[in-house]
Parts: sequence; C-alpha cells; structure tokens
Amino acid sequence: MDDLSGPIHSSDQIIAEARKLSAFGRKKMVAVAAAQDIDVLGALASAKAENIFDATLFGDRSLIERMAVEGRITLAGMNIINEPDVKKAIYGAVKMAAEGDADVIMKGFVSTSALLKTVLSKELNLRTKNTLSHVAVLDIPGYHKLFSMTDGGMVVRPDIEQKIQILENAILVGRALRLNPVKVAISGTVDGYFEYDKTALGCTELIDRIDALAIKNVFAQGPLTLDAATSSEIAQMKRLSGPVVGDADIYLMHTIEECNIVAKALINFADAVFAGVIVGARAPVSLVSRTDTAKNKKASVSLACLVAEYYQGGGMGGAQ
Amino acid sequence: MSNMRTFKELLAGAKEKVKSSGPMRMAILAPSRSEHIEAAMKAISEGYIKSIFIGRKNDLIRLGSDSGFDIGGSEIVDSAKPAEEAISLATNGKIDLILNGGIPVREIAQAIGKKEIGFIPEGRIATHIAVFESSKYHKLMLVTDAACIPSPDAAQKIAIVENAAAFARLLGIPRAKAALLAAVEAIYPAVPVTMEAAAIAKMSERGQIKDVIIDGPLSFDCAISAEVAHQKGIKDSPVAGDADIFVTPTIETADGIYKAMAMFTKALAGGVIFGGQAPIATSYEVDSAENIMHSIGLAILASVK
Repeated sequence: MDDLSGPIHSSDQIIAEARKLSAFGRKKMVAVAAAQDIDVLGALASAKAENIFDATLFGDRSLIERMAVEGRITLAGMNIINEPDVKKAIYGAVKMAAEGDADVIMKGFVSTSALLKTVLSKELNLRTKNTLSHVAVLDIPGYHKLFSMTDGGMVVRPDIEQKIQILENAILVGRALRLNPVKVAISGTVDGYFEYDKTALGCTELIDRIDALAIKNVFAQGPLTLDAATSSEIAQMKRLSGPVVGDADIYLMHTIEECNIVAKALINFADAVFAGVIVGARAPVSLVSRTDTAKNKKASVSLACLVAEYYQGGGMGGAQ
Repeated sequence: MSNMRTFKELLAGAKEKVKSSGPMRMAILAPSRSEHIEAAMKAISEGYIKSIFIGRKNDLIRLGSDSGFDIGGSEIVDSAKPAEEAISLATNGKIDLILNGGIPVREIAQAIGKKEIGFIPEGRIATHIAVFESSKYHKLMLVTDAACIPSPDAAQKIAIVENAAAFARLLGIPRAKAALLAAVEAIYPAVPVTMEAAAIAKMSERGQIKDVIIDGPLSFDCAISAEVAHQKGIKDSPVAGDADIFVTPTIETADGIYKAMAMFTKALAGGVIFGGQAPIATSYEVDSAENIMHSIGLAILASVK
C-alpha cells in the first residue's frame, strides 16, 4: 500500500483515503443494524455512490424500500437481509462483524445502548479489555491538523482507569489517521497553575500513568486549556512549553459534557466538520445523527473504515 | 432600557451610563500585553473611565511605551501584589471596576473568594459571565461559569443562573432564558448532570426560582436551535433555540467554549466576574484589544456606580 502514507490532516482526506482503500482492493463492508432509518440510508447511498464501501442492511426490507422511494435514495449494490425484528437485526449485523464478514458496524433505527449491549456480549466476542468510547475527530478551519476530542458520547464521568482506556482508544484512531507521533493534551482550566486541576482532575497522576505505559511515539501533556493546546503563540504568552502545546492531535477531556458541549461549539460556530466513531471493540461502530450534515455523515463512516483497516493491519497490538 | 443585542449597543449603553455617572474609576491590574494598554487607553480617551494602573511601576511604564502610549501621567500604584491591591481598593470603594490584565483568572477567582476580605457580600456569589455575539445566533449569548466555581452543586448552579439573570437585566433582558447544558437532552438516572438539570428546571417551572426561565437538560445544539430541539423530540421548551444564558456543568466546559469561540470563530467576545464589590473585566490571551474593550463595557454596565 505504497500510496497510503503520510498523516491525514483533513476531513476531505479522511473521505479520500477511505475511497483509496476501495481502489486498492481493500474495500470495507459496513453491516447496518436496523437499517430502516432514512438518515442512515441517505448517508449510505451517498458514500456508496462514491464507492467508499459496501453495505449489508439488516432490517425491515419493506420499510427500507419504502423509505428509499420516499427519500429518492438509491439502494443499488446494497445487500438487504430482511429482519423486521429489531433485536435480530442488531444481532445479525454484529454477528457479521464478529465473523469477520463485515468491517464496520453501523447504527440504524435502534438505541445506541441496545446496539452496544450486543457488541459487548460475551457470545459474539468483539469485546476487548478496554471500555467503549467515542472519538470526535474535528476538522476546524483555522487549526492546522485534525483535532480529536474524547469522550463526548459514551463514558459519563470516567475514572482514571477509564480515562487511560479512552485515551488508548483515541490513540488507535490517531494511528489509523497515520499520525506519528500522536500528541495528547489533557484538558484543564488553567494550564497547570492550580492544585484543582492537578488533583481534582487527576492530571498529574494521569500523565504519570501514560508515561509509564511507554506507548511508542505518544506525547502527553496537561492540564492544557484549548487555546494552549492548539496555539503555540498563546502557549508562549502563557510561558508554556513542551511537545504538545499548540500542536495537539487528541484532547482528552474530563466529563462527557465538557467534551460534547465544546465539540458542539466548534461544530456550530466554527464550521468544524465532524467525524465520529465508537472504538474499543474489535470492530469500529459508526453512528450518524439526524442533525449531522451530509458531509459529517460521510466523514464518519469513512473514518470507521480507516479504523477498521488499521485494526486489520495488526494495529490493535500496541494500545490494546 | 431596551434589550441589547450587539456589543455596539452594549457599548452605547455603557456610554449612556457614564454620561450620568461620570467616567468610572477603573483599576488596570497587571497589564501584560499591548492589547491591555490599547483597550484601556481607548476607554480613557472615549470618556468611559479614569484609570489607575496597578503593578510594578517600571514594568508598566515599559509596557506602555512598547505599546506606543505614555502612561507616565496616569495614576500608578507600584505593587508586587497587584491582585490583592486592586481587590482591596474595590472593597474599600476607591474604584468602580477592575480590568484584569495578566493575572490568571483562576488566581483572581481564588483571591476574591477569601471570606475575610469581604469582596463578595454575605449571601451572594461572584461568577464569571462570558458574552458572545455571533452571526450564527440571533442574540447575545451569556456563558457561565468559566472561572469561579469549579464543579458547582445544584444549589451553586441555581446561584450561578440567578447571578447571570441579574446581569442580563442590566443588559435590558428582564426575564432571561437559561439553558442548563448537558451532553444530551434526555433525562437519564445514570447521568447525574441530566437529573440535576431536570430538577432545577422543574423548580423553575413551579416558580421556585424567580425572574428567569430555566430549562434543561439541553444539549448545546438544542439550546441554540429550536429546529434541532424539535428533531430531537424537545417540542415545548420555553428555552430551546432562544436561550440567553448557557450554564455549563463544569468550569472547564465554559472555559473551553470561550476559547473555542475566541480562537476559531468570528464571534465577538467579552467577559466579566459579576457579584463582588466591583465587577472585574476579564481578558484572556486569545482576546484582541476590541474584545478587552467589550469586557470593560460589560463591567461598566455591571458597576453599581
């Protein structure tokens, strides 16, 4: 795969790289759990039209077909497996991934928790030692690289063990984006000035633990505010130095709310393009929301394909 | 007073206020960048304030001349502990407002929080309120609290909302709409932030919290868009899509919003710590002289003078 090299630095590149995988004969198969969801079908069709991946739709065939007609969505080339029972549709999609016939699991018209419960079931064996976490990869106009924020979707109030796992999951996504090194900033209010950040937020302990893991080519620093993490000019004004300031790839945040709300500020007010993926299982889980733009949806599934490709290249090793 | 929707209107309101009160006495606390001097000089020349510079005298004069201003003629308080000095001047009524230059805002918050100094009147709280004007939202956004209370409990959250609503009244908003932000808009027993927000919203609905309309939990996109709220099943919220005040669950969240808005959007910004003996105009490294002037305007409107 000589043509797939160098770090990925934009959402357009995420989509282009997923397309390249297809061109190189490594096209990904996406298994959709309960595909009777018009937003999901729309996202699939637009990605399919660009030959980004193949899809198998588990769900209520008649509903799916009716939605496609109503939404003027073409389902050409997508395999539909008729399974009107939602539980069975989930099971079918997850099992397909567990058996290695699908690379990505995509959420359709089901609750996230019902889907993830099946992903984590012992029987299907997709579970790893890590918790599942959400990584929001943001392409922010004005920042020189992709900015991955975590976890704004899964773990409500992570303890230190969970923060380490959330970080490991995010590093996998960073590796899938071929970042080397991966630079991790840990959030805080005041760049390490105060005991509050060091103790209540556990930044010092967290950094020690990350250092002790000695993950190759990962630098971690914190606490850092968003501006210090993303602007070396501002970091300099604050007299901060280090390998991460002004150049962070990953922003590890302390609560689900902090991550979710700040990411939404960037998406809604800074026109950041957003790609999200759930990692921590042996197959990435992709979910798109009704309120995502078409580009966000396409970037999200493309990102999941890149993560799957990384796993299949043996990439689970280091951090898992 | 009419409702202010832009910083232009807000600065006009501040000008109106100083017309009757006379220029306000502002302590310029440890300025560290030319933007601080520039904003202060503009505020002086336009008649908003009379200023007292507080910090190391030599540093102040050097920074002034580096910024192209001679501040030798201004009142200067030579102090190695400028924050304490400014807070004490405010507590004794010698000044009307403070502009924080280069002291980290958390350090200010800790200094004013000490009970024995009496900066915050008994039974009140001081909180940080950030104000944004974005072309992507139809009114000013008040985001709180990015500086003072790290991880507020329910009672503190109510006090934060009430303080922001009191500030909003000074901007001509008699009964502000406040969104209690969360990651989701649904209420889940397993997610404490959503349970707490729902309880506070219920208190508001029953009239237990006066002069403000509160709803929550609301995700940020629901708080700013009625359409998104509707799509996500929130159909009769009095706040969704029209919030004036955005209350974050933690201090890092509000700080993150401030940095996101100031760094990566074209939004205009300003901030003030409100509730103490004198308002404190805040400035961050990301702020332009224009944004610092906005903070001064907010503090003038917040001043009791």
